[in-house]
Amino acid sequence: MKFFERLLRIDRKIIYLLIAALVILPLVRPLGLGVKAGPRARALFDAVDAIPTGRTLLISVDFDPSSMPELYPMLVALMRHAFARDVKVLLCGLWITGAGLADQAMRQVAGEFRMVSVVGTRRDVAVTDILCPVAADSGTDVPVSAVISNRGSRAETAAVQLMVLTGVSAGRGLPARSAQAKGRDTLINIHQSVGLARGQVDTVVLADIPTATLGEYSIEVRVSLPDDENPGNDLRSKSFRVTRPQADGAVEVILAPSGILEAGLAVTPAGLVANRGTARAEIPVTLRILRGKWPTGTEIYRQSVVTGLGPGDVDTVVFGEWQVPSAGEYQAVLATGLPGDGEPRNDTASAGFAVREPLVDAAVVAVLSPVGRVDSGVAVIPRVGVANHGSRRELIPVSLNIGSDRFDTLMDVGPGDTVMVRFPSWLPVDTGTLPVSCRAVLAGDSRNGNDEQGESVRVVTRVDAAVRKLVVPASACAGDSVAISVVVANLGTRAESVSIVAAVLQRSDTAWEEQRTELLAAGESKKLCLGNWQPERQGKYRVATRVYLDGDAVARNDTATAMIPVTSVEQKREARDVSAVTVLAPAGIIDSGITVVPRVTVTNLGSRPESVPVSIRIGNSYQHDTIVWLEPAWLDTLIFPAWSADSVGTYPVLAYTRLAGDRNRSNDTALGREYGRDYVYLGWKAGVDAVILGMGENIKGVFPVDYYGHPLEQLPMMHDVQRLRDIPLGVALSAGTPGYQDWMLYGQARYGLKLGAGVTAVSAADAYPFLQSGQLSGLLSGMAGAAEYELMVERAGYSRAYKPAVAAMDSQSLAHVVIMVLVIVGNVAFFVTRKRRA
Amino acid sequence: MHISTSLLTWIAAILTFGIFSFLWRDNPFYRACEHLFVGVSVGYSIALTWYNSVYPDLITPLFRQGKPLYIVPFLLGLCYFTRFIPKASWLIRFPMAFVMGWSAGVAIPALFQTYILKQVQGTLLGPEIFRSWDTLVWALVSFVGVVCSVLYFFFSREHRGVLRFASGTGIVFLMVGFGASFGFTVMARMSLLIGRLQFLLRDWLGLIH
Repeated sequence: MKFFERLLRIDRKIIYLLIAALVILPLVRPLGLGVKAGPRARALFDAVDAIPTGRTLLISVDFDPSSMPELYPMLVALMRHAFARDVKVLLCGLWITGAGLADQAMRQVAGEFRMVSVVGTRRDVAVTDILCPVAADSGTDVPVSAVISNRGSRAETAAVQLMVLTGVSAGRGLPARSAQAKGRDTLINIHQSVGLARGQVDTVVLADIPTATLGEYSIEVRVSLPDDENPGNDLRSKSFRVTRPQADGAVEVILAPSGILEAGLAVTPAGLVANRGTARAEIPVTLRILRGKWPTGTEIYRQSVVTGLGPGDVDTVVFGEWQVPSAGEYQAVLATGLPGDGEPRNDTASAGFAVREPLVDAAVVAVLSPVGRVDSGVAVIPRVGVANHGSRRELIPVSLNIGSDRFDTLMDVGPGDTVMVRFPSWLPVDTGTLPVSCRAVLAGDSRNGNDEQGESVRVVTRVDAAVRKLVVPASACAGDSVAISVVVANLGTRAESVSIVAAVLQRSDTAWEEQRTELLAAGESKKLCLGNWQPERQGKYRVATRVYLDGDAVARNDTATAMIPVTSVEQKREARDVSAVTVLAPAGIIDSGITVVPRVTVTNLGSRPESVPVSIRIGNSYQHDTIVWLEPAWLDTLIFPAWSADSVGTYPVLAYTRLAGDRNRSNDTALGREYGRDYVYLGWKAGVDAVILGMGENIKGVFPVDYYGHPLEQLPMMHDVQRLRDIPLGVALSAGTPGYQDWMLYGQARYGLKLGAGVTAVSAADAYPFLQSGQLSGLLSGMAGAAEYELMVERAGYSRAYKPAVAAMDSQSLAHVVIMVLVIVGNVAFFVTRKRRA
Repeated sequence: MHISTSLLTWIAAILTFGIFSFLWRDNPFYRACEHLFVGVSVGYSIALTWYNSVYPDLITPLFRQGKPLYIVPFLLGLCYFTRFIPKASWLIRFPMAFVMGWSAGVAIPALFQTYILKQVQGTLLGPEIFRSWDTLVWALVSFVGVVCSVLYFFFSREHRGVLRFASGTGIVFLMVGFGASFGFTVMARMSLLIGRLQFLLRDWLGLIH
């Protein structure tokens, strides 16, 4: 009792020191407890992964330094994920004191992706599973395999040890040393090696275990690898039980005869039989058919066969053909007769079935075509639906009358089937309404009410001319001769004389105009060159064309327009500009020993096609040149020969274009992720709801300049991101209010922003309802969520950088255990001492 | 061990120890660090508000670009400062009325959509919950939890019979919710401690990599 009283009076400083020690210990010497990515973090990772390359991820930094251990690793991991996938990042903040943090994270990750850092390799091989049955018969060999995975960063050859112990209590595997210490018999102890590539998971066949004695067998599989970073996943145990063999032949189901049969049919009786015993058996099977109910009915069929089945096998047993007699009620009985059957309850199955006289009934289901309104002169394929409601296959005569025209055919239709009947095409000539009737009659048809159906069709004429396409060049130069062509079509049902007018306009002035009349047959489409226009000066011109036809039924296809930007002669001569845009790979922090395929995006910003020499250099050891053909405004991703990251270190990655006569040399070199093109930080602005609502309408209206004072107009990335609707996903990293709830309230409810969230653990419980309702596409909860995301980013091969949240999880787990123990001990002490005091 | 040579890291480490010293007892070192933190935060906020909001969004358009309409928000903003002049303090009602009216108009539809319609929709038992047994079980648990917790706050009738049972079940759900919140709070506080210790051991002392 005194012990508990002392516990209650313990100095809190001792508890502080205890927790501090338990937190520091795993930081200095990790315990390898591991982190597993949960579904909420996985959902956010998948949402970021689904953003198309080149689009923008919005990250709202809504926390201050006091929440840094939880939310800062999320911010860094999200940016690494986006940068590695060539997704642009737009940062902003709703918390005034968090403004500097976003800047710090942005500089850190952008710095990582401006070059490539090769770090040391990670070594971890794990036993993921043991594959063996849970039970086996004595005397048989039990095959054992193990699933081994290489979770490290390079190819490995690991040693695999299999140890089989007998006499272990059910359902529990023991570590080898303790099992041997308790006098268990070691049945098998073998070693073999397995080679695994990076990330490879392989199933290794280990041994066939002989099972001479009854009882529990314990299997232990261990992998050994020098310097394995996570020894906690190197050993796995499993057990199985060995019992005596058992005999059991069972009837699963009677397949035939069953249901409703027709008199006179020939049926092949069959049933499913299983061997549920533990050894192979020859099972005698008997089928009987009784007229009336079992067991009082009269037996009219009996046949027996013997089938050989292995343990667990199921087979279909087929008997001799049986002629179905007259109408009535019948019973089929299927039985096995295995000597020494341990389970007689599943040996017999019976099923009733009925026999009836055959049914004859053909029916017209629907007249599908021609019905409603058709155009005169346009051929129509008449179609009707015909069904065989009888009980046997029939050859059904079908006749169709359209006005005075008649069509006949024969259709082979199975019982219960419905088929669509197509007749030869019918050409409507005279306008007006015509009756359409279809008839399907069989000899001996038992129901005549469904043999005929009638509809009507109205034959009309159609008048419609259309502009299919306006053919003009994408751009032109002053003084050039510009050909203007148009593809026109007569979509009506008779030949028409169509007028076509085309004009070139600059603002309200007409620079050129042409008119033509063309005779087009029904359905004819023709490309017409209306003439050549010679622009005199530069500017933007609009080309418009229109067809005119009296009585045109469709007006919306009568016009077409196109824009032609016209440049001056000087502009044409000078507009030569190519650019190396981004080094997509290698970038960031990667493992040594892996091979990376360098990728660079280049674009032609000029006005004429170019053959562009492009080079890439990684450190001093790798340089490669290539030439790419680029049309104006083309953006292409070039793939270079693979680069092997052999040596640990940091290497600058440089890609550049070398076009003779390039007018703009400033954009010829790409160094990785660049501010303004790949990421932008808007900064913080006062007025939470007003800021989000303003961003929904026009981001530049709220943030005319970014955090560093650059006008947004001058940042290329912001040309494609005008408002929230241009952003496929936003992630709010929130320490409270304002935070993800404000983005949901104003960004999502009003502008449909798809949203994920990273929150501090304190506010995680409040965020779960929004995840369940689908308002949040994913959720990272506290440091654990950050660790899960860091791990997924690394597993996907996006970055091998230091993971502060993962490194902290051992401390987190240990501290939680201690706090739980303290809560329990404190409560016990309180109640024990209270009883005494009372 | 690679101890940092950065002066800023040393200052941060010393201030961290200053704040941690409160665990021993209240002391002048702790109070100095606390006051420094408050002062730096306020100063940083004022500077950022001026340079990020007031100057580019009010001063520049009003005085540099000559947009006269910006005088309205300028005067409304000045009205806040009349709190310091008792005779003119009634003027604060204008900006307050403007902000309250604007906020209520903007917030009410969004609040209704986000916190009521979507949440009710998420609680309803739709056909998608039958995809697997676990989604069915959790949807039912969620539904029962919501109904019973709401019934606990139904005070128009005495909690007897079925209502008593339902509200009792609601209390269980509420307690589970409070427990989860407490657990997460413990995790959050531990995370902050770990973050600081990581800074001391990694950035300052260079003991971990």
